[in-house]
Amino acid sequence: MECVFGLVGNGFAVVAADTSAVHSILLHKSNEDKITVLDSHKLIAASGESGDRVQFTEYIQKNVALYQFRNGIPLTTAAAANFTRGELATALRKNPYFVNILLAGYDKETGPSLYYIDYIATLHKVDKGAFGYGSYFSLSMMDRHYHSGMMIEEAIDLVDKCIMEIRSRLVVAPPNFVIKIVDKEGAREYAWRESVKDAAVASA
Amino acid sequence: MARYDRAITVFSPDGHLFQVEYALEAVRKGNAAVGVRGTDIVVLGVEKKSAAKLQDSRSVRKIVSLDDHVALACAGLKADARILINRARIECQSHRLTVEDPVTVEYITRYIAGLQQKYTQSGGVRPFGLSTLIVGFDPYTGVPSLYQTDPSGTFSAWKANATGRNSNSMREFLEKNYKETYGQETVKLAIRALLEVVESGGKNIEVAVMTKEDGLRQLECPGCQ
Repeated sequence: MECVFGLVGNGFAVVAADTSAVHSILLHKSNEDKITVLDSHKLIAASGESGDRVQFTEYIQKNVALYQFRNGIPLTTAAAANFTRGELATALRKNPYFVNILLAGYDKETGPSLYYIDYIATLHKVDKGAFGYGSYFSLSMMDRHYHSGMMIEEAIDLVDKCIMEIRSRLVVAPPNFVIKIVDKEGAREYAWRESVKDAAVASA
Repeated sequence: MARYDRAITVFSPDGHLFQVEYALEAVRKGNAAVGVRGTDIVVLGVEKKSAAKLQDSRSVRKIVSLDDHVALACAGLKADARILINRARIECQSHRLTVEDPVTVEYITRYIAGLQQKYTQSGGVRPFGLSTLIVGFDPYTGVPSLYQTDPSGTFSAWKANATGRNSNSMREFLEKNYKETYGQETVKLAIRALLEVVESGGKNIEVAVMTKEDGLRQLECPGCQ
């Protein structure tokens, strides 16, 4: 049900995540931002158990900030990804976090990168990745249309194609998505793709 | 465990804690440090002993940031400082994690002072041999603050203060010349106070300023001001 996917383009990495917060058959809200800004040049798109998702990503975020204060320089994307994987691995056989993560970052020396980290602490550096039922559609779409060094317009077009595919083919497709991007200027929100806006409540 | 319950800091018959007072001596022997609070800026300055020729002076940073909006300078045992600074940095992030709010300057000062006090009342340990000057801006109101802690664990807020070597002369200078300032005037006051006790010359002082918008900024050539 939760759809997260991302890809690496020419000098940037983009991630998209659905924005529905679901509990059993109830949709709590449809504008839940599941892509956390880890630091100035990193994004974590997380899906899974909502308590674990928030708890774990905030924990990683604070530890990344602590590293920066202690050492005067930020962590590289690779280091942050390996640290995240390490925390998942340590907790795995006692009290696992049920969170799947796509970590996107930009480093001055090595450019943009995307890391696939699943809940049992698998770590892969990838050009494109996806989690959830939506991955069946977004991954296929990206396999067909992705090529390395895509420009931002092409990449957003591909993201939109994936969202269209998810919306039309997934039985309980999430209505809204958020797209965030990271490049040399930093990590920032790019756009929302809303098909259902929260209706204003009529006053009594 | 029995070996560690012999307290090092014990009362003297006339009510002194000598270990704490000796720690204050260590502070008095440490490098001069000064802090001044302006209306929109806070300034920290420390004396830099002439660097050994082969030493990479950039690796000796005496003014450190604890969080985006809080910075610290100290006088005394620098190795003890490293420990306190590390704990304070962790507490800044821990506070953000548990209450989703950055620390206030008073909170983190109280934390550091509390830590210093703990070590005056524990078995087998000695007090931290340093006094700190902590500056920052309240994350919501934007009000600037300057606090000082000492080895006994007391802390208080100041408009301007100095610690370390010749701190009395610096404090006298500040008392005579302090007035509410902002921007560059505050920086000048801090540097002039430092230059009262330090041989003049840009190489001997390190100055950092903090503003609400830009955070902590180390000044390139304080002696040129």
